[in-house]
Amino acid sequence: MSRFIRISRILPVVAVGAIGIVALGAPTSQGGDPFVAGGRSTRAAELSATQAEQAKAHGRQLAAALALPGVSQRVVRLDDRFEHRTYDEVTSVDATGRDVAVARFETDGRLAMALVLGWQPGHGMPIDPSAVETRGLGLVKAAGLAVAGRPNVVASAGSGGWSITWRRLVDGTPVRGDGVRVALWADGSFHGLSRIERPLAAAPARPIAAGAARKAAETWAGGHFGSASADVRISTIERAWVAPNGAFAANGLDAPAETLRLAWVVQFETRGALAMRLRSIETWLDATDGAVIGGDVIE
Amino acid sequence: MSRVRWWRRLVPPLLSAMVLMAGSVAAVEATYPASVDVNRSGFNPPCDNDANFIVPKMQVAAKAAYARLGHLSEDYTGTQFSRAATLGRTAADWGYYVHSHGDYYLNTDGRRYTGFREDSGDCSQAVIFSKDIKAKRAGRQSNLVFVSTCHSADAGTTLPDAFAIAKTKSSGAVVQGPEFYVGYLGLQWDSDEWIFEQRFWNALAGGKAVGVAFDIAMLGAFKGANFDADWWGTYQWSGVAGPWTVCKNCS
Repeated sequence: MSRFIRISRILPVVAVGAIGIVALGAPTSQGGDPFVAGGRSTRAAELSATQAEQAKAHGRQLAAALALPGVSQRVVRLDDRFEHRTYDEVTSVDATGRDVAVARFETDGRLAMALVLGWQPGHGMPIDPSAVETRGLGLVKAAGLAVAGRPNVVASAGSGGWSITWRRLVDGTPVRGDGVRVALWADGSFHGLSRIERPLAAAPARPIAAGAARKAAETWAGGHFGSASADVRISTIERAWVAPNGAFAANGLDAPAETLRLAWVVQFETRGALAMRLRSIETWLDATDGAVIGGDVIE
Repeated sequence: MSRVRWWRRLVPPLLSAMVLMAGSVAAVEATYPASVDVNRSGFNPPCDNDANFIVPKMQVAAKAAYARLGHLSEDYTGTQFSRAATLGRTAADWGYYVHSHGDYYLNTDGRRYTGFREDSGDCSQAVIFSKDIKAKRAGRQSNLVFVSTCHSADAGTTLPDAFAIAKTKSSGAVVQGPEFYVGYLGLQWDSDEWIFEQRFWNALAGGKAVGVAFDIAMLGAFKGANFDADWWGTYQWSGVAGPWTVCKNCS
């Protein structure tokens, strides 16, 4: 077979492939690049047959513990660059082939998320508010997780009933965004669960004092608001672990940082004309040196 | 067959296929516009001396997400996101995203309506009321409407109705068409909204139904223990642009 004939046989295949790329969009080759806004957070990662079976086994154990629906599972490993974690997503399917539950496990098998699909705000009587915490704790234990302290219990429209959150504390300092959260339907049945525990940087040996943080925050606010700084005042100062973000940095991160840092979180309230646009603003000052490592606003 | 003749035979079908595909994509996009309105002036110079860099990320993410769903997605900020410009566009929009300052504002008719502030490129920003949008859209069907403002999904919100989305949750065998409204309850921080939105858009991009994407988004690493959002529409809808014309479960 001549070289020309070999090429002629593969060229149509190449042409069709090229058309497919045009039609579907070329895959973004981002390698180890960080998350960029506008793109997807997750991409499929390699998963061996053994790992897939292990993930499915975790899924079955969790389903048994929480009475999750489904008769079979499929699994995919996802590398999530927005949340800086890799997990196995196990989707449970019912006898008709319909997706009915999703669970995510870290690659070491620890539970990250569980969710019953469909809007089903309960078929029984609404649960007594005084029983919500106990119900949530029971589900957390059934899922094999450990929590401590009293949770924050709130009625939640998006959860379908109740949201119960045990915040993560490290030496008494809150880790913002981390912890265990349970979502219950109005009748107390299980809707969803998440466990978030991100890495922390080393705590500074000599963190700056609250007074120094206040002074640094006032200086920052003066520069930030200029003539409108009379319409802002500090409402709270608290120490917390935060994921640095790009709120006030031109070349900041598109996703919250992977490793959390100890910071002074200084919150300002606004008034007057400024409050028509900005209700509250926070600046996060690194507890080591007072540098701004992020912040936030309520508009 | 000579080498030259072989190449010549391949060119017409390849060109035809490329033209056809380009045409079909353009046709889909042209049919289902989506506007992304983002108030940046209110949270940037000259209104603030320092810029808020979370908001542009939300803008980029929303525009890309609507494009992935098959919309002709365009984003507007500054003077392009004015009350007049938004109301001029809204009748044609199948999808809509807005990020701004939102509330339950008192209208000159003496009643309160959910709404949000325009950008307008300055610091004096007029309110766009739900009644303004409703009048312009006149009951026209919407697909995905994401109102990224405070109070947009409070129990009494009047914005879903402006987009002809019934404030009911349809799931399982019950459907109310290819529509879904998402908003926030009460006051919420930008960083939590950004986490929620990226989780939502990413789940949609992964083929999850809009209701599933919402549920996944609700389980993010929010700093606010009281973070809450809500939705109305069809839980199992795919989010793909356009009406259900053949099979309501196939979009």
